[in-house]
Amino acid sequence: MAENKDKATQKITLTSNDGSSIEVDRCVAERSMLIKNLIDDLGDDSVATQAIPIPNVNDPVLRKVVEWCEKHRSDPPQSTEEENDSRKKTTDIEEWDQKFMQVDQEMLFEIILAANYLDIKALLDVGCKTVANMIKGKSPRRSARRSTSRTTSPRGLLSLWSFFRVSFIP
Amino acid sequence: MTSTTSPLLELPIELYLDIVDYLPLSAVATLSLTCKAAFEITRIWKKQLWIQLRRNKSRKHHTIPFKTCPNLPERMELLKALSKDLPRHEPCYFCATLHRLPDLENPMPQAEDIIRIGKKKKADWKELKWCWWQEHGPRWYGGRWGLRFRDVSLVMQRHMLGDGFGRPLSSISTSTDWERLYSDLEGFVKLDTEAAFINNDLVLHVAHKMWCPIDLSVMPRAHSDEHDVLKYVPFNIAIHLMATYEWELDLARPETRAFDPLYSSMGIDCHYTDEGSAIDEIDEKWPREASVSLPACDTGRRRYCQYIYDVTVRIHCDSKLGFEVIVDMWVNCGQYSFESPHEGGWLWLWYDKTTSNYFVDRFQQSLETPEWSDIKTDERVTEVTKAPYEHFRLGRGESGISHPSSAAVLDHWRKVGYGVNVTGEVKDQETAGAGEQKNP
Repeated sequence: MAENKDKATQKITLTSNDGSSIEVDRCVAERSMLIKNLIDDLGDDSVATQAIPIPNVNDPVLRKVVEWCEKHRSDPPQSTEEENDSRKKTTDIEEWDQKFMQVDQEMLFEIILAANYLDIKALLDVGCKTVANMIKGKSPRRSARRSTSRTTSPRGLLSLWSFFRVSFIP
Repeated sequence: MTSTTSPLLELPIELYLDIVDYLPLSAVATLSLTCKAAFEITRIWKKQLWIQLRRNKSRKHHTIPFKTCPNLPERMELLKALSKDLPRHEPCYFCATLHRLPDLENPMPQAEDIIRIGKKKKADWKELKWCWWQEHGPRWYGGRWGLRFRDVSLVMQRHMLGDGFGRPLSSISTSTDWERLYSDLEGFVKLDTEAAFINNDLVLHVAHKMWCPIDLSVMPRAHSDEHDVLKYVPFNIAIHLMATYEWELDLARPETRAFDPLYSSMGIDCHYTDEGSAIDEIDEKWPREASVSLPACDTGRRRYCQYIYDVTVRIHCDSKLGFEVIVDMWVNCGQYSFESPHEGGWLWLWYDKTTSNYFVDRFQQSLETPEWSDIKTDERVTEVTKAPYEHFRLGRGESGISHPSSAAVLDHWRKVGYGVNVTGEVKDQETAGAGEQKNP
């Protein structure tokens, strides 16, 4: 038991792609399936001495991800298949996560990408739900403004619309 | 110019589809309408998307289109979202589509303002009149006449906004020719409609008429009751009233005495449970006529929808000259408010009274579901059923009097020289006066 606790509080160093490093507890880092598998493969000793490079994630995003992992360090691991159906239906997000996701859009998508790369399922879900909530209830032009900068022109939208108007306006 | 791409579309496709999985159908549809890339991706992923959101426009369900949507709530969400981009359009819960609203700066109606009926017909003036609902249905099955939303909408525009807007009131005041009955009996039917504005409410007067100019006294009678055509005439009229106006007809009730003269003129014994109404006690004074009024129920609303109407049935009969049944119906369509048919009076205009119970039940259910709770009843529409009597001509053959075919009936009844009418005195004087002029 004591050994486990030691392992959990063992410090691990992560290095982002711009060189800065962050020290985190091992159990926090193991929220990421990528890092967890990596530690399992390398063994405890080499992890204790060497920093783990995270080449796809830059410093601010990595700090953000670590912040989320520290908050959720004690969450039970998600069962993957059983909850799949119920998980898909709702887009409700916990309050802390909602506040956590109140960042600019670039950051949000980077977090999603990082969560995908680091294989943090729960964080990825939260990110996707946040984007889905942003899209929901918007008109096509509004969500175009929000989600895409390179939208179709009004004329293009009109042609798309006229493609469907047969089925929508009698 | 920097060509920036959406961060959403820069995501790996599996993440993009992950996000799409969280969205309801309507949001997926709006998302896919933003740009071609999004459209293609969602089209591959959600193959059923547009099928789920479609509206079936089959002729069979023409009258109540919202029934045919596979996923009505999602479709309505999508239409709401689209109407934000199309400022002159408004989603209509009833038709499950977008309606074009009148443009105040450009008042003349555009081609799109005229709703198309069917695929083969062109949109033109004639469609703005009364027309058969369900053109291919059996004609004898109840009354299938009705106005469409667009007709009344255009008339109300003219009233509220003045010339140059909409259509004149006369466009929904029509008369049909006398049509021969589908029956062994020699008879004709006719439909007249009139409209008037009373306190800015559009009030419609609809008159169904049946006229049988036969000499009842010399009509050959069959040996057995089964083959007696005449015997079933009052019964058939009663059935028609029940089917068309949802009138629960109980022959023992006092108001059904309106049929007494008809029965007696045909020499038919009718046995009532009520003793006082035995047929022998009616004096043998010809001609006879009677009227029966079917007032609206206490709340002013009928069972299934929120329209207000009042029905009066009048039967004029004469043993020599046959009989005429006139069913007058008054409907208050309420006031115009530039809105889709959420308003109380509007609903009637969609309601096909002769649809089977299955559809009626579904109609009622769908009104009770939460999505339909925002249908408002028009509280301004109260009691109007008394007022219209002054505005319309109600004598025999007088509604739609400008129509050439009404002359035949007027002449017919003038021969008898009636001096008494049940509902209006002024009209009777006119009729009587006309009869006197004719006699010399």
